[in-house]
Amino acid sequence: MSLSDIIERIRSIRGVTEVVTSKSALFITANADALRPLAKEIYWNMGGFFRTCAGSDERSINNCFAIYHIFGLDDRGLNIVVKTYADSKKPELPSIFDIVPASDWCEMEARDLLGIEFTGRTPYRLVLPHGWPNGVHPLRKDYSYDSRPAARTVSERLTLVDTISTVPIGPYHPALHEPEYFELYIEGERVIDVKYRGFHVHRGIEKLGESKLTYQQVNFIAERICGICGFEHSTCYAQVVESAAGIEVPERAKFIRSIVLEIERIHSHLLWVGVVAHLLGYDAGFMHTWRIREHVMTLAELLTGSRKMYGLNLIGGVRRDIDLSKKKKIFEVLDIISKEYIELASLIISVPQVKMRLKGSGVLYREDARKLSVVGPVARASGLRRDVRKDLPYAAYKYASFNVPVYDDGDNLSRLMVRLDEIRESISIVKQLLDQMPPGPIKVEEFAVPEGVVAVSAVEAPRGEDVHFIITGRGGPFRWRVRAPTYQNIPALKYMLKDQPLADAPLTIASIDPCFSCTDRVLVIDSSGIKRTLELGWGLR
Amino acid sequence: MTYGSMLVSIGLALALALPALLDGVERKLKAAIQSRIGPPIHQTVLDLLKLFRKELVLPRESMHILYMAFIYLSLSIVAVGSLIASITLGSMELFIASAILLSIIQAIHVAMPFTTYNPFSIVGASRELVLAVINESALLITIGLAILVNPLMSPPLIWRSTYFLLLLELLIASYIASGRTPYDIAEAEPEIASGWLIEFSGPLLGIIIYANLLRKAIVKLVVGIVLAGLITGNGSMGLLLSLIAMALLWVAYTVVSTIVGRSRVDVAPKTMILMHTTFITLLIITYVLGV
Repeated sequence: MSLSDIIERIRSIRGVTEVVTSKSALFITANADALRPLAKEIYWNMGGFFRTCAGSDERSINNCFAIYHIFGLDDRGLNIVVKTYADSKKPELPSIFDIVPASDWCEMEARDLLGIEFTGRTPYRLVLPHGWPNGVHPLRKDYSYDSRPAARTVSERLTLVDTISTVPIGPYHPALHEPEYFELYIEGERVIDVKYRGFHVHRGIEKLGESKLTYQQVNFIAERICGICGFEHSTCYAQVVESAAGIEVPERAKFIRSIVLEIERIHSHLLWVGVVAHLLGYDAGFMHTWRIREHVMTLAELLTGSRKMYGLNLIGGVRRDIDLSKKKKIFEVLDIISKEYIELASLIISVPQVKMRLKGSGVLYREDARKLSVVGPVARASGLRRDVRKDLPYAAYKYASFNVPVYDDGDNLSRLMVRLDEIRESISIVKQLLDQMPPGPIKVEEFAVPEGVVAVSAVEAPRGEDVHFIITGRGGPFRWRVRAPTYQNIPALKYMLKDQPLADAPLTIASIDPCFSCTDRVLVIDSSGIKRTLELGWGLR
Repeated sequence: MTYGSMLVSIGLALALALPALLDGVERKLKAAIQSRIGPPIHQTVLDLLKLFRKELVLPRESMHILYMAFIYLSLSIVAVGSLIASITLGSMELFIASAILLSIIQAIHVAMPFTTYNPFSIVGASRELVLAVINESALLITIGLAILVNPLMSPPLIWRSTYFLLLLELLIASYIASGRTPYDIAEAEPEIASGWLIEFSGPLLGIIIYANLLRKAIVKLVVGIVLAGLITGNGSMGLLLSLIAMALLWVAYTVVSTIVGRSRVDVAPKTMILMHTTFITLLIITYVLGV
């Protein structure tokens, strides 16, 4: 299907008022009535995936609220952004949740944070805590970033089921070292249903980015969204601003970004493999994986000056170059990692208990994966060939030759195999890019970001694609929306956990490599040198 | 004090002190296999001392737990003493009494977590119950056969297939009873948040951990005593060999547990039934045939 065919099919839907093509996406403006037919056409008839939606308070511009639904036609390498306006007095739009199940969370997030109601579905509170006052929507422009509503501290119970046993996992659980809460309903040792409550550490990073930070400052905040794959977020943010502003990033900077991105992927996957080995009681595998991971941390420090939180990215390029001595050292360390990793990977999957427990457990079927638009290794383990590095190439990935590992079984073993294969591919990518790295500058010295430009960018993080959406403002983002991969993958856990043994539940939850703080967009606000937090999450008592 | 009672006293003192140190050896050995430095060998002793210095906090609505923990500890000490005396003095009655005590200890071990209301405790205890029913049955049958084939009085003149099978089956049963991977499903630290242990802390946890170490020692000592009986008979040599065998088994079990992963709750009982049924059947056949 060509781009003109896509535009023609979209234009044929009644209520589509504008279709504009840009470098980062195809932008569509439509009436509220056209939203559902558009969603059906793009998601099901064109075979698109759903990336996220972003609500926006544009009353200061056009006296309306707006919601942007972001779809992706992966096979065409195209993002499609559908903008719909909602009345400023009574913001209300039709829900597309029944057509696009993946839109569940972002609709409820827009409802919580902007007060946009979605008709035709049952609403629930997703992001804001139980005691947050009704009618207070923190992402509205008339709500100051440092306001503190008179919130009540209340206990919250997800359910009170007396007929079947309930096993809580979280908010603090030794299997997963972040605040999340799963309530598993079990019969014997079999899970028959599951409920999830997250967002315990949602602290308004988007609000902060839109309120008082400059474009460059947001870059460093974006990196702090995630402790493991922060560089992907900062790259994604830098790219979305560069796309909006039409900044041409020097080729050498693109190479450096790709190299560091792959080093971060190797690190993240090794960390995850270790955690899984630990969950399976195979601590020797856990310790040795993390020993090898230490080499990767050394590489990160060599390239960026930090083991984590590199602070490398800037809009328009990067801050540190890679010289010949570093290049030589990288090759040396990669050879060590490669040798040790290959031995360890084959050892881990040869342990009978490891293989037996991973095979056939936590299955996510291809059709469910498609329905939920899951991303990253979770999608690829369920037979979906989704990888932004190939579908929408960015940075220097077009210069590297690599495979996208895809497995069809959708079980925990497939997710392990995808990640093990990806480590090999990442090592190869880093070596290829180092060999081809062109000379030249590493950043653009001066640039200007025009106001009112909408752009979207995606970066393939270790857990799946990060999506950053921006509407440019004066000196900083007017609207900045972040969607972490775990946000897209958690809803799939309901399918993966059902009818599984309780014993496999932590393993299956871990198999999506969840990053809850990433999903919740964690941030400790430290505006005046004093560390403080907005107390939004009381958890469950 | 007679020579025999002196030997029993020394043996008992060693058998009570060694488990905490052998646990330290286990931690050090695991660390070495995993490329870590690991804690010092006496770390378990330090851990226990620290636990005993902490305030006593009992699980909510579990009033009998402290009483059960003391019984668990007391019976474990008695069982160790009984086993030591059986090999030193060549007393079959004490060996039989030890086997009975082991069953009671196992029953208390399973019952303790059921007194709490924590779902992870209950899940852990349920898993332990399943393991215990299968493994304890097999262990007791094998101990019964050991009593038949080896009276602990003098080593046999000729080694037979029965003896090898007996030792092998005892090794399997004692390994499983020691609660190591792949059969550590009752504790399963990340999986069910330490399972049966989750509600215990401070001195109560100290008592339970030490009693549990003794229980681990008992199941190895049983194998050691049968082996010693088959090689040297009773007396000081038998005692020495039993204790050495216990220590060596501790090390061997550590190595095995480090290189395998945890089994799943529905698979572990099946593999146990298969293994025990096969070996006990073979054992009975070889015993009846006299080979």
